[in-house]
Amino acid sequence: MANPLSAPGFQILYVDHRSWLQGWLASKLGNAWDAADLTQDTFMRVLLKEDWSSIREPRAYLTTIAHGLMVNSLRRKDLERAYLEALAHLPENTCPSPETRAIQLEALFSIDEILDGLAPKVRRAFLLLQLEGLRHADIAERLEVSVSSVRQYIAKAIHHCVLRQCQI
Amino acid sequence: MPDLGSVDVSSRPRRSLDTTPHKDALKAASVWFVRLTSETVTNSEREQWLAWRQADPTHEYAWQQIEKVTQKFNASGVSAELGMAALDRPACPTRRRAVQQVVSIVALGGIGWAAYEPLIGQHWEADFETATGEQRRVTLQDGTLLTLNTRSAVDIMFTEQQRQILVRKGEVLIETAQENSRVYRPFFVRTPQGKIEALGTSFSVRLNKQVSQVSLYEGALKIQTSTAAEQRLFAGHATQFTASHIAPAVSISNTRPFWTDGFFVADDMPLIEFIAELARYRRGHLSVDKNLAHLRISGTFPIADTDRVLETIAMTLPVKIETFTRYWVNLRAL
Repeated sequence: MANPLSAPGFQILYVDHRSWLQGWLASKLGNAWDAADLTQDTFMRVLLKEDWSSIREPRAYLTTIAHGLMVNSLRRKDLERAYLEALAHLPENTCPSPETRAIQLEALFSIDEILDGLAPKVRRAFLLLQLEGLRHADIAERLEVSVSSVRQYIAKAIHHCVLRQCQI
Repeated sequence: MPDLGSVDVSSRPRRSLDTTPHKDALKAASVWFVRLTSETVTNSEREQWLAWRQADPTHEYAWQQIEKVTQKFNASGVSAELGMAALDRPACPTRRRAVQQVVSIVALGGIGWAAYEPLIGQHWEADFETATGEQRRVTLQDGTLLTLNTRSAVDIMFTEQQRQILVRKGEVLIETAQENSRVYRPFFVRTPQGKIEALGTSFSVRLNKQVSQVSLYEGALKIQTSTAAEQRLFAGHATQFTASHIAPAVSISNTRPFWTDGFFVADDMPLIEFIAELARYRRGHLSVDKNLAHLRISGTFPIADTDRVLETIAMTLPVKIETFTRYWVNLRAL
């Protein structure tokens, strides 16, 4: 393939829609810096696709990709914030090293990705099982639902996670 | 024990996860997962579950997908407390707003399953993996028996010309079978450090940091690495190798690895090494303070009950066990 940066199709796409996309992202995020970063990431993503020249609805296409990247980046920030807040409450001697923290955050993010889209109760039931190792009956008590609901939640959650995992 | 060997894969159509058998198998696997995590699960249910896995390769494959999910949690090394705080957090307002405003945009294109093709034509491929504390026996297509120890992963690639096993992590016992009905296919085990050719044998391979460790219980094998001279190993011997060096063989007295019988054996082992060994069979964080480096330990220890092993250590050595959560344990000097 010839250098796609010099291909007229991509140049037109970039020149025509870059500032529009950045404005759209800024209005969603309320933050011009992140919007500029995500705009670049979006065009990078478009550039790496082989079929970028056949895009018919460029703005719908760009916002679809930008939306995915934005949700991902917001999710990552949320998770980081919650993790760091929890760390701040730990006794000092139990605090993991910076290296361990980075590894744990990556691991947590990859879990977060496959959990995404689950209803809050379903998600919580699954986490109580996987992380706290609670019995189904204890989860039921914690969530104030029946044990049979808990089992439905767990089945739903694991099935969802497996499907998400295959997509990612 | 899943016996994929009894299935003639070459006559089956190609399959992917979006076909009905795979969808059904995934649903069934999810239901099994609920049963197995229940406090009321019975032994006979466990047996039924094993039988279900053996009954069809799609079942086994679906179950492996479940294990990949649970593996993510087991391997994260995060305490329950931190994990819950990070993953069970309320969605932040910006995010909710941002997500809601764009839900009307239609996603482009379907997401394919093409990368997940467990069975391909003449070849026979499969991946097996175990979680922390789990052991698993698998019969391969040619009758070879694999036993995976805790936190282990192997990929199997059989072609018309050769049988090959790739050890990706952990430890595996391999008991090769003779194929009488066909032209001999050599049997190789690959590790990041080199290649082992099995000559009718029973042997175990373990990846330990940057070193491959081999113990040979029966038969003979050849070790090849990229730069060291090829070396043969004979029954009752063990060695270890890196890409550039194969260590001299040492003799061993056991005829199969202790872990297949549920034990590990320490003979005047430094406590730090002992704890690292124990940690392989235990979920979460297990550490030991450096000022305990001088302590040594001997004995036979059950790998299925690491809590009890820790209690025993606390009773026999001058150490204190600190437990922050169920999955966060540290040993310090008394």
